[in-house]
Parts: sequence; structure tokens; C-alpha cells
Amino acid sequence: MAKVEVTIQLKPSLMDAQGVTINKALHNLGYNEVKGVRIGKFVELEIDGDKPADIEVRVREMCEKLLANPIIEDYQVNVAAGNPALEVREPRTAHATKPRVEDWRGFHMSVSEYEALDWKERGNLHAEFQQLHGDWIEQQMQERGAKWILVVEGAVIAFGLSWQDCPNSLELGEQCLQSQKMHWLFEKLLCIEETAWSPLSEGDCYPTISLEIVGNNPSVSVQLTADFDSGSNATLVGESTLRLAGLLPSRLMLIQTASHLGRTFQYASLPLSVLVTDESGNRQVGEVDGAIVYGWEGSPFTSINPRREALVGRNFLLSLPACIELDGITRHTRITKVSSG
Amino acid sequence: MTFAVLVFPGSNCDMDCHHVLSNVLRQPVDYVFHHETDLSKFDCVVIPGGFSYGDYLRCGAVARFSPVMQAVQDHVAAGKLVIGICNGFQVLLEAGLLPGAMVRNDCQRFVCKYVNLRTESTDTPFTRRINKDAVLRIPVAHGEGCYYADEQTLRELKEKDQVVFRYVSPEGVVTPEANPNGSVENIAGICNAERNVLGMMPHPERCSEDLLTSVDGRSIFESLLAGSV
Repeated sequence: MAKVEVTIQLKPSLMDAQGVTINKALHNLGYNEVKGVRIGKFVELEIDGDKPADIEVRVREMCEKLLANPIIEDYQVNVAAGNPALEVREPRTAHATKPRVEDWRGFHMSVSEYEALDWKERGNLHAEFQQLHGDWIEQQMQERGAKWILVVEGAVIAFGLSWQDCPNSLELGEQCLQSQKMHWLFEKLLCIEETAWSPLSEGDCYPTISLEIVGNNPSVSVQLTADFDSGSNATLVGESTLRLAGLLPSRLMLIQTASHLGRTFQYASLPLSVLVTDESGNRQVGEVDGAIVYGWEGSPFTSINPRREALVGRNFLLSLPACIELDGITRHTRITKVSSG
Repeated sequence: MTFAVLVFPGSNCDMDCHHVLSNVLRQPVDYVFHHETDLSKFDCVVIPGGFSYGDYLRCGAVARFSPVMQAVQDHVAAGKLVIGICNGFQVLLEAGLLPGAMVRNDCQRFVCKYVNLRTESTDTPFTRRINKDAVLRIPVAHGEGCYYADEQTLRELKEKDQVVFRYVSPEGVVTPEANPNGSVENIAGICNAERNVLGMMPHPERCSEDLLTSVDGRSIFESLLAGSV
């Protein structure tokens, strides 16, 4: 018999009316240090079974069907809780268990099977591994001081101390095809700081930058007006924008997941050739690491500004590099200098 | 037109619905209990308000798995009509027969009062006898009536003209003050893309007789009958 604990909470994007009320009540009691309250549910299950991985899969199914409403709620499953009889995955810190073949369907996956999946399924697979073996991944990165690790058949075959040398989705895809083995990349989370993310209200606007993404054949390009966000180190573009412009390689792309504003999104990493023109007419093409976001229109990046075409972060500014003046008076962005100018 | 009024443990508007359909509209109506599995002899199923299964876990979450709900799924698939009122709307959302979800009222209170509804779509069997943009006075009574849907779902609802009622001012204007529960875009009622399932938080069965302060609810039931000839 195993004891399983499930916690269920409203998604962060939803206002928690109960939490707001309790927050106020705590302030009335003088606990002014309380800066936020969110209230959830705690469910304790007693379950027949002795394989934690199997139990977890079943309980997640229960959550999806009944215990939580995935439209409005997130849930966490903890199989460990107070059950010494059962051998379970240790929480963070201690020795995280090595991923076992039977734990994860991705182990048995051939490259051609993976290619047959759509982007959502590929993303789910990546997220599933992260969920099942998050502790193990973190331990591997911690031991090596790595920013990213590459996992093949449950073993770390490569890692990097910086993001600079991290293989992109295209290169990884080629490695998969050559070796006929699935390569799984796990990175320290794509860093998008949540600063200034209050909804765009009247009188508030995002600085924008005009840019052009060009292909190997310079006649193929797409012009974009991107929101500039210095709180993000990533540059993000919608997958369909690039695909429709003919700028997306048709070769195998590995799809990863990350989360932003509490919501998961799927992306592939790909270097982008970005062309900007400064106000004196100098043109500069720079290579910027791009995150190609699948399902852009339903993604967290368009939930605040639905008209957003792309989001450029600090890596754009630093890779190109360019000198940019954000003019709050005229509300225009001036690209005053590019490095060749 | 033959009506079924579903009865779950905790339903409490079932008798009101039965009364309006049988005594006011003079239609054949049966109560159907949650453990039954056949709805084939009915044209329209009413899922009434109340607190099915004590609103345990989430409103409508448990009712959704009762045997009669499989029959409701079949009924909907056959293109027949379903109207879910209040808790009935919550059950339809949990069952996935309508998109979105319901959360607690943003004001944290149980709201029980008359509201004004603007008829956004008359292209449904439930509203075809109502003029577009007509304002109906119908009462609400709920603690968890804050409708939520993500941006994409909202976009689809609007594209397909699935928003049937919005909370408005007496003049018919969408304002934050007119919104009793914090529902996204003041949405009070929606239908499915096939237009045979309606869910609404307000209670038309509570205002369908001259004896009461409003008869505006009756126009919804009369719309249903108008199509059955």
C-alpha cells in the first residue's frame, strides 16, 4: 500500500479570489510581511501497488480526469509521502535515481518514430522526461557545473559549461539521424525574467524593433516588428511565421519545453540570421540564437500582446551587436549604430 | 417536445424547471435520475441548478461521471438539445460538452440577484424567438460563476458566434459593474459549435410566470418550442 499526496492549485495566470481575501485578513491581523496568498487543495490517496513509477502514472491520470481541472488548475503528485515500506525516488538533494528504461517510453523510441510525431507530442515527450527525472537531470548538471547536458539512452554523453557551445535543434537532429539514436537535450531553464509583465494598459507600450530574418538564400526573408524585452535573454519567433516565409529547415528538429508566465510552451532552438539597418543606412547581419515557438498564437508570449510578431531579448542586442536608443518621448526606437557602421 | 430534467444528489432547481415546463409551457416532462442510462425518448435535456454531489472537489466535477452523463453525451452527439442552468452549466463545462471552466466569483460572495443579459446570438434553438441585443432580466444565484477560458478558446467562441448571453447594464452596455462574478468578457452563457448545447449561469426557470417579477426567462423555453413544430 502506498500513500500518495496530490496538491492542486489554480494556475498562476488566474486570480485566486480566496487567496486575495486571506491575504487581506492576514494584513488585518498585522502580518504585513505577507505579500501573496494562493490557496489550493491537498488530496491524500491510499493506493495498492509497489512500483512508484506505475503509481505516479495512474495518479496523474486521475488528476487529468477528476482530481484537477487542467483548464484552470496545476497539480503535483508526490508518491513518496510518509511511506517507508515503499522504495521511492528521493526528494531533490540526496541521490537521484538514474532513469530506468521501463520508466519512460522515449527510451525505446527510434528516430523515425520520433519524426512521425507532431510538435506537441515531441514537446510532451521532452516534458515527460523532465517531470519523471527532473531530480536526476538537476543532479547531473550540478555535478558538472553544466548549463546543459545531452542524454542518449539514459547516459550523459556531452555537457557544456556555457550556453555558447550548446548544440541547436538542427545540429542535434542531424546527430540523431546519423547515429539513429535519440539525443535529448536538457538545459538550465530558458531564462525569461518576469519583470514588467503586468498587462499592457492604456498608456503602456512595448518598445519595438524592426528587423528582417534572412535565409541562406538572401532573397528569402521575412520582415518583422519585434517587441524588445531586456528582461529576456532569449529571442523568440513563432514557428509558423518562419515556416510560411520558407525559412524553416525541413530536417528533423528536436522540440523542447519550457515555461513562461506559468504556462508551458514548445520550442526548437535555431540560429537566425538577423538583418538590421541603422539610421545612417548601414546594414548588419548577425547570428542570433533563436527559440522557435510552436503554436505562437496560443503561446504565453501573445497572451499579453496578441499582436506581437516576435520578442527580442538581450542576446539580440549583444550578438548583433547594435546600439539602440529607446525614445519614450516620440515612442520610437532608433538604431543609432550597428557594429559595421 | 418531451423534456427530461436530470436529478443529481444535491440538485435543487429540478422542481422549478419541471414546474415551468409542465405547468407553464404545458409540455411532457420527466425527472431522470443520475443513475439512469437512457435518454433516447427525450428531445431536450435540462440539467438544473443546485449543488450536485455537494459541489465536492469542484462544482460539477463528480456529477460529470454519473451514469446519466454518458447518455447526455450520446444525446448531444445525436444532435438533440441540452440546456444546463447554473450548476448544470458547470456540469457541462466539466464534461467537456462546452469549452472553458468556472472559478469562484471574484467578489468572493455568493451572488443572488437579478441581472441584465444581452442576447448576443439568436442563431440557436434557445434564443431564436428573442431579438438580437434584447436585454433580459433574469436572476443569478451562485458562488462559483466566474467563467474562464484561455485566449484561444475565447477567440474561437467569438469567431463561431458561441457567446449567447453577456452581463450588461440595464441599457444593454457591457460594463465591469454589470458583471456579477468576474466572468471573462462578461460572458453569462455560451453554446457549443454545433449549437445544440446551451450553458448559462442565470436561472430562466425562476422568471417565467406573470406572478413573478419578470417573465423574460420564458422566451428561452418558448424558443425551444418554436422549433419543434
